[in-house]
Order: sequence, then C-alpha cells, then structure tokens
Amino acid sequence: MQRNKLQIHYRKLNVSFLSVVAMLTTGCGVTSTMEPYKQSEMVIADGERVVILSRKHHATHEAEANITECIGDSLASGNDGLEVHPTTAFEDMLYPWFEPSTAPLTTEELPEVLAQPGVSNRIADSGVRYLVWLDGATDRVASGGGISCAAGAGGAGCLGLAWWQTDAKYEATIWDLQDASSAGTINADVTGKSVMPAIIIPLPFIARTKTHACKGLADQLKVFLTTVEG
Amino acid sequence: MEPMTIRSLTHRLSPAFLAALLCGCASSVPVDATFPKPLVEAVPMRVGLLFDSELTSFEYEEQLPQNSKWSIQLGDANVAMFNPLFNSMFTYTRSVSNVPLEESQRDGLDVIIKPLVDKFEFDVPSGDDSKFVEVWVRYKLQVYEPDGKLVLDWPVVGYGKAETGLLNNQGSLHRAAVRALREVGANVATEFATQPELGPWLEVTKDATQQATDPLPQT
Repeated sequence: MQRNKLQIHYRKLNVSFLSVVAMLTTGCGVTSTMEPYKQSEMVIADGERVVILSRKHHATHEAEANITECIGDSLASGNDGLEVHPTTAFEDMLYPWFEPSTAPLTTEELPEVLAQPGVSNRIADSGVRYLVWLDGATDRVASGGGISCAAGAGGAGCLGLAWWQTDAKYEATIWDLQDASSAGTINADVTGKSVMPAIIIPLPFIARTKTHACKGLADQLKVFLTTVEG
Repeated sequence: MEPMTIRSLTHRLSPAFLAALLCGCASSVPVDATFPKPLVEAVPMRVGLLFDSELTSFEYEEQLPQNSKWSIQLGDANVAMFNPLFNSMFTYTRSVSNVPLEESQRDGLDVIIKPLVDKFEFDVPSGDDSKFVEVWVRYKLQVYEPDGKLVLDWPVVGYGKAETGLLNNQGSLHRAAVRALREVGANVATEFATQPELGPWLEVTKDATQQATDPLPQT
C-alpha cells in the first residue's frame, strides 16, 4: 500500500517535470523566414571570392560585427565552403572608399567608386567578385512577467517567470563587382522567445535568435552563390 | 521594502554602472590605432605639416551624468591618422614647427597645413536607451601660405559608433573614436581638392606640373 502511494507520487512528479520541460521547449522557440530573390544567373567561379560588409550609415541601427563575422565563417566552413575575404582587410585595402560616408549606397553609385585610381586593380588583385552588404539588427521587441527575489537570515531565493522576445531582421544585398550590378537580395526574419522561470534559482532558456539568423543567411547565401536558381 | 524585479536589477547593474564600480568611477581611454594609407591620387603640392602639442597631446575629459568620469587621449591617434593621410595625399610633405616660415625655411613649400581638434563629443548609454557608444569629432584644417596668410579654414567632421560592451564601455568608446577618425580621414582625402578656396591655387600647381611634364618644343 505504502509502495503504491510512493509510486503514484513519483508518477505525479514525473508528469509535472515533463510538463514544465514541454512548456519551456515550446515557449523558448525560434521561427525563421528566409526570402531569397535572385536577379541574375551568376554563379561564383573557382578563385573568385566574396566579402561581407555591414551597412554603417544608419544612425539608429547597424548589423553587429559578430553576425558579419559569423556569416563569413559559416560561408567559408565545410567541404563546400567559399573563399571569403576578411572584412577589415577589404575596408583597409580600399580606404577611404568603403567608409560610411563614401561607400556606394546603390549600384548606380558603384561605377564612380570603381573608377577611382587604383580601386578596380586592388579589387581584381584580391579576387573579390561578390560584395554582400548586410543591413539590419537584432533587437528585443517585447518582454513581460517578472521575478521576485528575496534574501533573509535563512537563505535567499527567487520566484516567478520572465520572458522576452527578440527579432533579428537582416537584408543581404549581393553585388557583382565585375559587372557593377546587383545580383539579388536575401531577407531574413527570425523571431525568438526566451523564458526564465525562477523557483529559488532563475533558469534562463535563451532563444539564440541571432545565431539562427546567421546560419540561415549563410546557408541561403551559399545556395545563392553556387546555384543558378539561387 | 519592495522585492527587486529582474528588470530593475539589470537596469541598476547596467554595464556603465558596473564599469564605474570596477574602475573606481574613472575611465581612461587612450586611443591607440593604426590607420590605412588612403588610396587616392596625390595632389601635386609641396606641403608643410604643422602638428602642434595641442593636437599631439589632445585629451578630453568629461563627467557624464549617472556615469563615471571619462578621459579620452586622442593625441597619438591624431598623429597616426594624419601622417599617412597627408603623405599619400600630396607629392611632397615635411614637418614644420611654426607658421609663418622664415624665407630660408620655405624650401619651395606651397602651403602649410595645421590640423586642430575643434570639438569633441561622446555618449555612453547609461540604461537601455541605446546599444551604441557614439563619438563625434570636428577638426579644423587650417591651410596657410608659407608667409602666414590663411588660405582655408576648413571644418571636417567625423562620427563613429560601436556596440556597447558587456562589462565596460572603454573598448566600445575606443572603437567608436577610431571609426570617427577614419571618417575624418576619408572626408579629408576625398574632399580636400574640391574646396573652392583652393581651386585657383590648385590650378596653378597643376599648370606648373603640366609644363614640367610637357615635351620640349622642337626647334
């Protein structure tokens, strides 16, 4: 009898634990949308390289340095990895033509920059054919709940539930530097919801929104640059 | 006493607050960087460069509200930015120590350029209001004839921003300052030759260079 009661108690605990895990796994979720639009049939050839630059002329936002780096690393990794030119080395090599105030904003402005003495030669020497402009940011768009913490002579602890939502919205615009034309764009919209329940100790379950955006954009860019359909 | 919520806790333990706590309420940022040579066609001018101690030892101090005291040393970065910039922009440069120059010291110089920091501003966010540290700087490029006549007094601005750091914003401020200086260099390199005050004057040097490179007439 005693043993049956213990078994029932144990099952109840197990069910509660599983429901908490289920709640957290569904609550801490990431949804992702990638929209590629390819305007040409270009495909990257052997020996051609790609460089990723972030747009820096906006006052309110800027693609973070770590996502530019993450996309570059992801593009270069794997057996099918592409040749990626380091971002800072590209900006230094062509200084002052790719600074926020001087960088071309449209492909119509690109020929003027390419016509500057030495610019086209340096780009040709570097092997860079495709330039990816990354624009956007990851921001916290909503948050709620709350956690209360208290401390006393007997100890300390917290109780409650907090959540927050982050949106990663990026646009990658691919330029063909050889033709001074736009090859297309990829829009990424990733939403992640993080939760932090606290029963004595706060346990954060963080949605890795930016990492998802990075991986999604890198995978899509690889397809874009290596297949005719994009 | 009301229980502390996570939001209020993170607000109170903001990066700037922690930085102030860790650094004893004073943050010193020596801006130390290398700047690339600009990829521009050299203007055919012989230029004297006058970097006075105000430029080479420039330091800016400010106590931000709800933040620590900041001290930004920009002197080394000024030299590191302007030297490669002017050396690439003109066919000949050398240092000079004053303006006007004695007749014997002019050595065929066309002009003397004296840059100075006219204004410096920065912002370090103290709460959730922004995720960027920002720097805004305005230089004045004073161009003199060797006899001391002022040809041009040109304000050049630069703006830079960098993401805030996790525990301290000194690195962010450094990156923002370097970006602002790069922007100044970019503006100088691309716009110097378009200054209207220098227009007729640049024509003279262009004509002189053209005459020097033209083949001699056949007799």
